Amino acid sequence: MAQAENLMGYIEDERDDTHRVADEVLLSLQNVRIDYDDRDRADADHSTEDRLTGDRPIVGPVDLVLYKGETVLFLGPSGCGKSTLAQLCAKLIPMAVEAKVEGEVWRDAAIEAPGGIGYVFQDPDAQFCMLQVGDEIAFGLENKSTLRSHMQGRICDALGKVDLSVGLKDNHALFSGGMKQKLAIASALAMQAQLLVLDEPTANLDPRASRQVFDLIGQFHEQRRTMIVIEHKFDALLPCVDRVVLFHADGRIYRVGSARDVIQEEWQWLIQTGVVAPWKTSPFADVTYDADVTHHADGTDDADGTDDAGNLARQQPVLAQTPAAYRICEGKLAFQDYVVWENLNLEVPTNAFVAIVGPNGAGKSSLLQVLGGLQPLTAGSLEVLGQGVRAKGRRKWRASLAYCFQNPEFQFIYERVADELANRVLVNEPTPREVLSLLDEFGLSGCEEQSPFSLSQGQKRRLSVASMLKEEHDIYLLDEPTFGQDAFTQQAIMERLYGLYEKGKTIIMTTHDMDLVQRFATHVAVITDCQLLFWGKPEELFAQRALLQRAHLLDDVRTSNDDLRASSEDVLASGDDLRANSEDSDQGRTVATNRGTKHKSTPVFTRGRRDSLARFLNPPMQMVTTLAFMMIGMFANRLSQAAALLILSLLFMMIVARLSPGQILKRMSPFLGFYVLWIWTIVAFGAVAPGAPTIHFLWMHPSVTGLYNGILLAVRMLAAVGFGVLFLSSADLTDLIVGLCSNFRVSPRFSYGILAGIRVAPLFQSEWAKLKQARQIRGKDARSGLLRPITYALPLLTQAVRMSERVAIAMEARGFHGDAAHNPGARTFFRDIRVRWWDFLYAGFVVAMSVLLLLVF
Amino acid sequence: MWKLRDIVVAAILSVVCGAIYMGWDFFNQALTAAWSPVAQGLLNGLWWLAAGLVPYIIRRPGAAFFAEVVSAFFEFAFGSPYQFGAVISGLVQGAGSEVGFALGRWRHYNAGFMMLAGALGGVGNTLQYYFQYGGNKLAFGVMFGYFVTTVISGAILGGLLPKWIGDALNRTGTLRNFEIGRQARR
Repeated sequence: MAQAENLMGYIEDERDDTHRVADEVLLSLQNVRIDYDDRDRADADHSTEDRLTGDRPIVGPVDLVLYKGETVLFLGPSGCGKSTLAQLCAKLIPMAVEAKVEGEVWRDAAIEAPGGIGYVFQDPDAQFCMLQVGDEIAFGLENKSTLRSHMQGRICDALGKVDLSVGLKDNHALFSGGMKQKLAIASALAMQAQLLVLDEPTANLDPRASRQVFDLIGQFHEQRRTMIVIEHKFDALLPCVDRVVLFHADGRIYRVGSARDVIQEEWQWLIQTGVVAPWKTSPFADVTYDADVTHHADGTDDADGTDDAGNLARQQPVLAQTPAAYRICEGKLAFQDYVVWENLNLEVPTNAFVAIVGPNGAGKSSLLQVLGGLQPLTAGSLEVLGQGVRAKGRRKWRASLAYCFQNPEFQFIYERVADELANRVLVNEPTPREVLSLLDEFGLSGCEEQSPFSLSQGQKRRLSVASMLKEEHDIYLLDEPTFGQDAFTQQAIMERLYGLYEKGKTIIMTTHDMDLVQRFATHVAVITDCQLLFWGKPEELFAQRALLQRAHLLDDVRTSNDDLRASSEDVLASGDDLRANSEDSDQGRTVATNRGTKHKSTPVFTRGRRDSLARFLNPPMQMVTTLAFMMIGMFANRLSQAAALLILSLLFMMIVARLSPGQILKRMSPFLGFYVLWIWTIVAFGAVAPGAPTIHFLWMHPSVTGLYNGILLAVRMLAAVGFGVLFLSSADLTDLIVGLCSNFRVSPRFSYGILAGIRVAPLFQSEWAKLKQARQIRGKDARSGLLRPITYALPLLTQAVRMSERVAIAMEARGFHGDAAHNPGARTFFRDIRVRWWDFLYAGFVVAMSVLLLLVF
Repeated sequence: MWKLRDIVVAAILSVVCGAIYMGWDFFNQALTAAWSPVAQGLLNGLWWLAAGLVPYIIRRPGAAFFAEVVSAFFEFAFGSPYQFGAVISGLVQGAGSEVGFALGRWRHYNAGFMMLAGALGGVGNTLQYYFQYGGNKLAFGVMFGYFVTTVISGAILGGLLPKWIGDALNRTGTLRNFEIGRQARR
């Protein structure tokens, strides 16, 4: 304690007297420096940060004291090490992320205990490792070896605290970003975290969902939970922040003080360092805006809003210029039964600066894709620059526009930055002058030899914009160009776009940032509830509070008690988003995941029948049984033996899995065609006894013996297929993994690690589709479909690797280390998976029967 | 010593490879139905891609076996026509490749050892083909030819191809925190 008091001397401001917190120190850092083992390395978890290289450590020297019950906001320019410091506070450094830490770190026993610190990461997709809500929250409890009997209560309690009303068996991959973040917070609360670290928790969320998270932070602040928050959109958060810590770009602390003082006095500094965009107004300077919000919000309700919206859609501003850049008539976009939007009438004049806004998953990106010719309209007509799409021809259409994807990596085709900008491989030739000037203009000088993928997130975005701007186009389409960028990058991009607009080009972009809309857009389109809710000038939109509210464009959540309804509106995925509806129908879910991709939807293990007896079997035991059956099957060398085994497996499918003959046929059918081809190989190349009749046909020599053997093999394999189908139709993946760990003593790190890896896999499907579009638009799609997997591999794999690193860190952040991760005996299990007597009976029976059949026939 | 991130990345890559295998099952069969097994062997190596790729990146003992079994399991789960036979393939091919890396005491991951591991994966594949998939019903010459081409294919598609992918991936800088990146910096 005394030591902590001494530390106060290092901090610039004295603590605010009005502070209501008890003066109990939870954490203190003294002269702390953090450095990575190798200097060229960027922070694994924090891709948004441009690392500075040099002799200085990444962070520090830093002195900081955290008091119990206070909320501290970390602010600083990109790459200042605020996340790194937060990870140190949370013990993630050096536990999960290797780094050299010098100086003194002291933590109170309350947060030193496992689960004492909860960490919520920026990317909602990369912090979960289980498939269902219940398992997810229980994962942390298992790591703390909480008794199973206590788990259910703690889980429900935690869900209640974050206002998330979902079932424990819901698949959280289908949640919206906001719900995912709430779930992450709930996971931390269930572990009774005494310190919550929220590392840009709203970076991926729309204004409404962000506000829900902020609200929660507000509640926690009231309850005096200790929190460290890193957040760029901090305006709305300031009322519930006690202290602000400002960071220099070089990783030192610039100033610590009460929220009001620091923000008020350092606003200019914040602008200069690129923490806030210059067009933002200080939250303390501008009170009228806030007053305005409450005033309007009180006077209207949703029903009014709908009417207003209807009127407005009809009273489109009359836009006289011809030809229009785009004209959509009665446009409709639907994926199977799921309507993204319909009755969409839109006329975008040339030389407009259009912002498309709306809640997450409302179909903003889909609209942009339609405009970019990446996605055909389901119904209605579309004209580009006065010509129908058919007449214009796709190639020409694409030549007249440039398209910028949300994930810049999708656009990279070459292995060097310079090649990327030149749009060809530069072999042994100096970098062309126009490439050099572009590099310079976008702050990428010196990067020309690097791989585009190795750039920082901000650099990648600048590169993708630079390569888009290189050639002149009439129309520029951008999907959230400022997403996840620091103020400097945002500014650079927006200025370029505005310059193009001034040159007479048409700019259309989707965004969540209403400040950008207000400042740059000439037209704004609001997409919500399957329709174009508003089209017109930004001023008119901002005058309509109800409409803004309905489209989740206000960060005001006056209606937080109708959260349930809100979250169900929240979601409605766009096909490429995997963010789908939570509480609506099951049908909605399947539609949401299947749309937009031809690939099989994830999980494999969900086609089971509810009444299957196999459900009661222990999954790993069942797997072993399947394996045993297959091995025994290899000894079937007569057709009669193979047929007997096939009949056995068919019987098992009917009795144990309760599949009807029709269902069995349906499930076996994909294999039948395959085995016909298979038989042929044996028929044509089988060994024959000397003198046996064979036919010579080309280089093949089909024979009767071969035919017999081929059929034998096919039947033998079909028999095995039966048990495989039986297994897949009944076993639950999580049960299998947990069973392997709890019954078969497989190390938790390996079993749960596999599960975490699987969870990330479905993202590939949507990524694949986006990548394909990105390549098409650059006219560089692999000529033959066969080459696609090769050319697409790199961006997909880099994405996967980064994702898995984050997931691993998130798992360790939840106490998955030490004994809990190495020794199955040291953890408890939420799922009660047991090997029971009937598992042995089943295995024994299958083995005995198949051996018996081999002997009899 | 395996780190958690090694395991998770191995799992993800294995799931991806599992999907590739599953596609390869159908595509390969349709393409080569009329080929002699000797020629068919030339395309086999892709089926133990994971057994080369994952150990090349994370460089841990057991990586080849682990990755190949997990990817084969997902090949099965995604609906491979080989059904549970795919898992047996994973076991034998993974074990084969693992022997190759073990011979280098899990320290050498140059082209030579990658080819050796891939080739030994082919030995595992041949064993299964002989006992389960009708190899013992083929003429001896054909069977021997299958063995030779499979081993060659393993060295290339199961050894050099994953090395090439791993190197390309390493150049992007995403593998900095994995053994491949660490060793490259040394």
